[in-house]
Amino acid sequence: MTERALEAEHLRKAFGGVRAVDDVGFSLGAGEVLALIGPNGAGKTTLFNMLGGQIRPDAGRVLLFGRDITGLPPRRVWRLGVGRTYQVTATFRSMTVRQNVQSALLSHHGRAWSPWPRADRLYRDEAESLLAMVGMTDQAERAAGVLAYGDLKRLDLAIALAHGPRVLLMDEPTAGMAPGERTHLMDLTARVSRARGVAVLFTEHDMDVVFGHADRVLVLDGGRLVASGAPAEVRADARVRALYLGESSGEPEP
Amino acid sequence: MDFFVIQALTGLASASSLFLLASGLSIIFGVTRIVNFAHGSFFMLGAYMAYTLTTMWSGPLGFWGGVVAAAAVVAVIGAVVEIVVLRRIYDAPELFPLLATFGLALMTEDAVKMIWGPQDLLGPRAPGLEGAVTILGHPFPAYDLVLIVLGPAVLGLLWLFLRRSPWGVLVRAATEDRTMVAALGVNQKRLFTGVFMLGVFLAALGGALRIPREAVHHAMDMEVIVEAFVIVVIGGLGSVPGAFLASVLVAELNAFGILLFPKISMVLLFLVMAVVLVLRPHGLLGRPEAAARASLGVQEEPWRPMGRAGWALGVALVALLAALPLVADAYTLTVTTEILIFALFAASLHLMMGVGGMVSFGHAAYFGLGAYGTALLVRFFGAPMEWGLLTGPALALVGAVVFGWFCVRLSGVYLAMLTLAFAQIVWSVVFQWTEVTGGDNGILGVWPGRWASDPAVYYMLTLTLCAAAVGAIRHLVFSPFGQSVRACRDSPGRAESIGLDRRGLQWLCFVLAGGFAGLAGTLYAGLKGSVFPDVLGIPLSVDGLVMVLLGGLGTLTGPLVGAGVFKALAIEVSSATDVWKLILGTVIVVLVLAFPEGIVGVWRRWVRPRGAGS
Amino acid sequence: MSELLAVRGLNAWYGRAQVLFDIDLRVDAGEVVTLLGRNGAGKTTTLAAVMGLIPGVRGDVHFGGASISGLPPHRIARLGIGYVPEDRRVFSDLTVDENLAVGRQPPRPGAPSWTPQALFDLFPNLAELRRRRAGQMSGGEQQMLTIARTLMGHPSLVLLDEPSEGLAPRLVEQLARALGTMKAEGLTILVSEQNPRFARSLTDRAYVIEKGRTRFEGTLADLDARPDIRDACLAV
Repeated sequence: MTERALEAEHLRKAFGGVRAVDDVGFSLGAGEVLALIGPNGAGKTTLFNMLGGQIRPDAGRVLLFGRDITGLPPRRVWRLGVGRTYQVTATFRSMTVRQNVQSALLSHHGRAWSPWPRADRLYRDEAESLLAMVGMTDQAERAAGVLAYGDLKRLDLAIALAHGPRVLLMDEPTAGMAPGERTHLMDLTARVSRARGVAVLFTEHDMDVVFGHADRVLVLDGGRLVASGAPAEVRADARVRALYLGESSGEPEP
Repeated sequence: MDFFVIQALTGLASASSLFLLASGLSIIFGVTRIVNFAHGSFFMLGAYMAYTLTTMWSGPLGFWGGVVAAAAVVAVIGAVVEIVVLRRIYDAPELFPLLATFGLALMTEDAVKMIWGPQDLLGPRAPGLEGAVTILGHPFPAYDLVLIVLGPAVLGLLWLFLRRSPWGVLVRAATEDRTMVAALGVNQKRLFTGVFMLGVFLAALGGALRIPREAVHHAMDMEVIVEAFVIVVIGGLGSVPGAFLASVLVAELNAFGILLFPKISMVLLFLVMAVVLVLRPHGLLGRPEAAARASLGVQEEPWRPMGRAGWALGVALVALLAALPLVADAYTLTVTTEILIFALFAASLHLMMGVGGMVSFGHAAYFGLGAYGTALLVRFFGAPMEWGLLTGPALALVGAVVFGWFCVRLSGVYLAMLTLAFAQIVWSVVFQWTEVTGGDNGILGVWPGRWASDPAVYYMLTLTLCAAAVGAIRHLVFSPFGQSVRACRDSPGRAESIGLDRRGLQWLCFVLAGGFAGLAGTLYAGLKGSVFPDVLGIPLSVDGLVMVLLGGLGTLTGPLVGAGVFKALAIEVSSATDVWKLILGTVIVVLVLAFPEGIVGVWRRWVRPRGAGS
Repeated sequence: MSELLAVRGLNAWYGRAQVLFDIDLRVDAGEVVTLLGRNGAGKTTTLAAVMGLIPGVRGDVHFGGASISGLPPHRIARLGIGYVPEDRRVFSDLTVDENLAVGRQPPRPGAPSWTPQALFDLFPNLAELRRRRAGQMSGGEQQMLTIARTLMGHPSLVLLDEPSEGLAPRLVEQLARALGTMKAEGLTILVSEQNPRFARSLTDRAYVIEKGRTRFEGTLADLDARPDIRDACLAV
């Protein structure tokens, strides 16, 4: 068994009487790629937000390399080595693509508060190499607000990788991308994960991405964990098929 | 003990009229997303109209009929205003309608003076309710008892209306998502006009019901609008029951605060509001504002530092200004000094709003603290005004540190209303604390030392400091700090998940903006040689908003241009006429209607002559 | 078949960036037409523009033979176009019954008419939840509710923006069956999707848009014969 990077124990969260996440626990090993699937409203985003510090759980614990990080604010969680990408991409629209990455680098190097010098002169090269990694070099000077959807997703990933995270949380990383782009992005993610031992947890609706790229799969429904295991096991699980996949899926596409 | 009961009942009676006012404001905001600054004006109009009608008609029917008719007449005026002005600008950036309603408030104030005269008017008492009843051995006005019952009655009616009537269901649906309501076939225009009329009717009724208790006067509007904002913020935006709870709370605080701390009753109000907001950032019964739906068709260009041409232009402008004393007379220099001061004021507001993303309705607080920080030093230590260049900004910084700590815990309209409330508290402290601040009489003799008493020297001093400060702001925007603050503005969630301390960064930005505004206030005190509570007033805060918004939020140049144009205009108008509020208000409304995207938006449209989109 | 909706030369901008370029669309009465394309391709903008929700668009939109360009959304809705947005947008504070009440319009001659009971037959989940606040329903139930709410206006044409997005595959099957019933009732449907899997059996014709331009028009069988377009433009 590899080192445990991220563990969730008995996490619960309710909103106005509705149990969004109900007693969910799992562990994620260093260098492992874990997929989290389930219908909208199953509690995936709530779970993500509890892991990233955006929401404080009602009960349960989150451990990062054995350290209790439950309820820490997002910026502390980030400092401890958790990177995150968003379902609805959140980039900084008053900046260029490169400045977006530079913002994360400024924060990482402890220069976020400094009044000097001009921000876009700092960590240029580092930003460029992160952009190169996600294949965005030629768009570095463009406005972040005008990027195509797939490019926004890649920029989001570059920002999330800026501080060399040990755990990466990705909320629907490939939604809306073309098949080629999807494979490319997930291959890239897998490469980074293996090369740097980064643990990756991602949510996804596309079953081809899930079954093609995940080491293990978690299935969430109605806030509860209903199955977990290797992709093949989950795909064959009768309960998962009834609750989520439906009878006609699971077969290869025509 | 008995006395406390009586005082509590008096508080409840005032709560009713406050509730009518605040619930109207809340409903209008909920559906139209307009912060109706003119709401206090409708309240005032209701009172004046009721004065006229109830003195004209007699008997119980005349009185109550007059009160309701007054509210109805004002509601019709509200509908006209909505159709003629507001309807055209619902799609403009969110603060433009606010500016328009402020313009309307200015116009109303002068119009009221022209129609009813400047003196206080005492309306008739309610027939049959002139006397007092005895409660626990104390006399208590019978009319107040009626008011006490009226508040909950209106709450009940509103609740029934919103829950049970088909139109109420539409109003609630539109409060959540007005676009979707339109897409389902509901005539949005008619719905908005109806909602605006309802809100105005409630406000005017609140005003009309006040006439047996208080004299009607033409400063009522500003007095009550701040209370209404405080109530809506405490109760939670869009929540009618919240508005009721908060009205009772505020009215009781006023009733008892006057007894316990007669001089600083407003401070008590502020403390309570601060505690409520820290514990419940969306008010007592409010819910988190829905994350603003990314409106289709809005996009922002990346901010870029000035190129060489921009620098050359800036340096040339400063050089030109520095040469002005060679050719200009003292009057021109004094006017230009004032414009420079306001350019710095606008730049500091731009730092807070444009860079920090924190909308301020009360930026005058820091300007005024700067002015008083100087004036108090002169008054109590006899120091020349120059020393105030240290104490003025310092006092403003202290104010910004304290108020900013609360403000950065909120966002959006809540934050904006809180800044207004803070500004108003500072104003009322200065106004009421006569021993120290001189109250309405102000502090005189705040002149600079002899070396700087010549207008040309003071002009050069102002130019140097303002140019340096504006340069510093410009630099900050593109510094790592400025970029981090912009990151927090662009996407708060993303900013926190790259390790940025959003509140801390915004707090510092708030404090710096306050400090720069304080410097402007200090220079203003030295220019005028005196300081009055006006330097803390709402009109000054709104002047700042007008300058920044008309110039455009996206650049620093915009606010500077806006300040120059607006201030020059204001100085000209106010020296030429005594109905300057009417004229200024009209100018603001016309400008907003003519440039609903700001001057910068118009500029962009010219750059892209195709004309569609935006 | 008679032409119900005709879009010619539709252009739209976000700020200064053009996002739709001369989009042409035609939907005949009784058809189910699928608008295919990836996220950001322009599907949502196209549907919203037809509905009158996008300011400053250029182009020609005819519905039932009359021009509806430049009309406000409520007028378009009252002419018989129902709009189901991509992110559901139920009124979360309102109950299911109240949500339906907001959508209610008088019946329209020539368009299928729906009673609440018929809608509860169409979406059985909703029947038990009539007094539940929409905000407390699951994503799938909300999706059913938005469609039901739109049908309360008795539209003759429904625009459905990515109805299957984020639904469990099981619910997607249920939704497809509901669409089949709607079609059988005589409703005309323009549905946008990222891939042709959903509503495959119902679709009469399809359009593919990519980067704001129409790239393909034809039947799904035609599309299957064009793997180049499928791979470049669709999230399949």
